[in-house]
Amino acid sequence: MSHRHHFRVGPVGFRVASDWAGPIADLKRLYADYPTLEGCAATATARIEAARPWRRWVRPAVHIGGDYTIPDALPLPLSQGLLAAEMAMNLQVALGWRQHLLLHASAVERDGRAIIMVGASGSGKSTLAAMLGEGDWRLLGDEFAMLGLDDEQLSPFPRLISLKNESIAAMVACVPPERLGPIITGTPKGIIRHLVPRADAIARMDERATPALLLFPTFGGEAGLRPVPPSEAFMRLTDSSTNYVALGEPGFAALTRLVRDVPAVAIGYASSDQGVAAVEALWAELEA
Amino acid sequence: MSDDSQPTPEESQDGSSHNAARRGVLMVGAAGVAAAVTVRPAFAQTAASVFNCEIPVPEPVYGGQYIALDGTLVPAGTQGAFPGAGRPFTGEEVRQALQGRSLPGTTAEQGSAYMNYIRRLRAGQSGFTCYASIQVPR
Amino acid sequence: MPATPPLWLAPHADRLSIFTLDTLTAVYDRASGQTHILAQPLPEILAALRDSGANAQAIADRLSATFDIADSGDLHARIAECLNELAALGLVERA
Repeated sequence: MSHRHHFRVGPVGFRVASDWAGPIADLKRLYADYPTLEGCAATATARIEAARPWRRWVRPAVHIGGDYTIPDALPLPLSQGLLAAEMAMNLQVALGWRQHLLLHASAVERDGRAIIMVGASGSGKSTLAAMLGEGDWRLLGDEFAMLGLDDEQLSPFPRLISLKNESIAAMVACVPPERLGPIITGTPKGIIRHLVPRADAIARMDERATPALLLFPTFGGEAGLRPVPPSEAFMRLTDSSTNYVALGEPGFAALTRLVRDVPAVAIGYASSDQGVAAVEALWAELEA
Repeated sequence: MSDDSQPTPEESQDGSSHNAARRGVLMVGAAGVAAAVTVRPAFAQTAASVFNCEIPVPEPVYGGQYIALDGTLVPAGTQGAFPGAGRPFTGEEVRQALQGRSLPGTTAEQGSAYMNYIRRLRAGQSGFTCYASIQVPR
Repeated sequence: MPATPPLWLAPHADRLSIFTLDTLTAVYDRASGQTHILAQPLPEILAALRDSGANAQAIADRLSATFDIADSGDLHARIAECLNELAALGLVERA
């Protein structure tokens, strides 16, 4: 395992080791402005490796591993090496992190208050977060929202944003090229391109925020807005949490408090611009 | 039991106290309708989310057996049962099957038998982790 | 001679953490680590058993005394069904 990089994202320190140089070169470039491991709450080790030594060169197949691994996972081609590295990092956090309640959600912040956008891949949460993060909002994260177990605060976790298919073009048009990763084709989700968060999101990654709105966006869903009752929000959030069950009672306490204290709304929208406008309008109403 | 904000009957209507003569309404529900849901664990739902993982039908160690309509394994040649799939299914194919698409290369009945087999998988069986990592969002 | 109906008991006072969400109630069972979402009348049955055990009819009587029962139909039978559901979850047990 001859290629390595390490860096901190919010409370998590990552050590990434790779059998190939390419993905590490990508990580070094894209995470160049991120802090070192100093000051992180815990480190996670992610590895991308060949099953046998000669498979580094012969039909290279990238296996995802680290402290935690999924036994049935098939490898990815080397052309998707950066994606594999990001997946390996996500896996370590998803399976191992116990310091916060993890929600599969993106989050943005303004004036110390945050919107948590909850949804599966394809719901549009990543694109919405990316667009809001280029506007008047600070991106807290794209993949995981980290909720404090005692204090209901969100800890930022601003990893690379994973843009897919149609949402890539809109962002490419409005960010400098050095913030964009390679174009990765042929993935199960189509074309993927990674986006480095804006400088403020990186610089302020230790500034926590108070959740003020739970949003359940559906791209291509029926346009409009529907309040979500606490019980429905609770169930949908347990579905979106990778560590709710493992946390036990602290997870129950944190999540019940969250749905009690924070309003939840489902929105459907037909275009990303419409989605952004809907979010801004909703926020204005809430804060009025 | 430790209670957090369990309303008393007098408060259940609108949160404010009434005199004891005013009672709350209790919806007991219809016969036969379940009134509880247990939270199930969601596994790693990560970036480019569905892992490129595989679910063999059946597990290689039972390669010679057939799959009955209810998903259980039966001896090869059993009437009404199907031979195992020629190749493992990917997590993405099974995820789409859970949402209503058919499993590739299968008839409706055969696909249904395979899906029942997959739903019966338990920890330790080949393909279980892959299946568990595909959680269909509500 | 008809069999004596089962006497149902709520779990020990420290076992459950109960949180009313809205019309549904979240319950964390410390013994199993499971979280259940309960609709009426399950939380109310648990509350009715808090001070002492009771059989289904007695629970139905306690609930009728405290609430206006909304649905028509055999209340005793519905309560008995709900108790079986709570038992399957491990939230009540027979004495």
